[in-house]
Amino acid sequence: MKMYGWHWRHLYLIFVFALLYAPIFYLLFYSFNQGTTMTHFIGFSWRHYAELFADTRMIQIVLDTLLIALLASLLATIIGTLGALVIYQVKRIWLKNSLLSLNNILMVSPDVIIGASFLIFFTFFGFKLGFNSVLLSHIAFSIPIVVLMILPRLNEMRQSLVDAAMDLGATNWQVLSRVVFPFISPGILAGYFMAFTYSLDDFAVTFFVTGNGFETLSVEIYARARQGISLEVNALSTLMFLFALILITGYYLLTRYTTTKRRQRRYQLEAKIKP
Amino acid sequence: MKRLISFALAILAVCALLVLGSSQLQAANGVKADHN
Repeated sequence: MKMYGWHWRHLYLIFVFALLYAPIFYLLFYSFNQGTTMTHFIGFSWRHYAELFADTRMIQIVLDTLLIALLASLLATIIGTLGALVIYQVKRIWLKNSLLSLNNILMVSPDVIIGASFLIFFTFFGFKLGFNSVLLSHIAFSIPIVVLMILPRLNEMRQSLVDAAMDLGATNWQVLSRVVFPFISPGILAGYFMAFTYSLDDFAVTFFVTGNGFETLSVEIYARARQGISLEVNALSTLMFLFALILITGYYLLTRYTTTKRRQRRYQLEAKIKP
Repeated sequence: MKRLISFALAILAVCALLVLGSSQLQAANGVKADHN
């Protein structure tokens, strides 16, 4: 009976992961197709990869997309961290809840509404659409994500830590830089990477504010898909998937290495203390 | 704090490289468009 349960549980897991990954692997598989459609696999070829690397416009769009994502998430993390600290410091419960609600409203609002409102805002003030408008809108929609990632970490922090630092004569800046920031740094990093992911794959907001002459990857793929999808997009997707895979594996290995190192240091310290 | 600042600086360095790469490609694309 136990064996039966074990078997079905694994089968269910395989089913779920197959459902999640089947479309991606389908895309990856056809990136090596010699033909130009995703219906018949004619033979193995690097043709679409060669086309992709020859397409300087596409490479430029990839670089611009990465630039927007890196920069927007960095600025959103700085602003969001300061925002989270301010919300954390608010003593009045009603005000704190109102600020949190205002933050959460932006999280649950449909992207189309946010995109349209940004478009109206930028055109009303005569702001030229392009790199700056995309960057500003990405910063704006990433801030609530960062705040949401940092606030739980701040709430976890014991007030006694701050009080102890103050008692020992630390200034406000020292408390912030040596107590608060080290404690919330996992939240800050998590917020940064969440904001980066949101910015990288955003389509709706970018579509509204992108203007003429500047494009991100999602908007470009949409524009190309309207003319019939090229397998060059598959090749690009494969490379991006591999890039994400390498990043995640690297992060996992780094975390494992630092955990092992920390554990070893603790054991060594304990061995020294014990008589 | 130092780690966070170095992380931010590393990102800014990557951004600078991306700007450089993007402007080079933009210039190349402009030349290509002119030829066409």
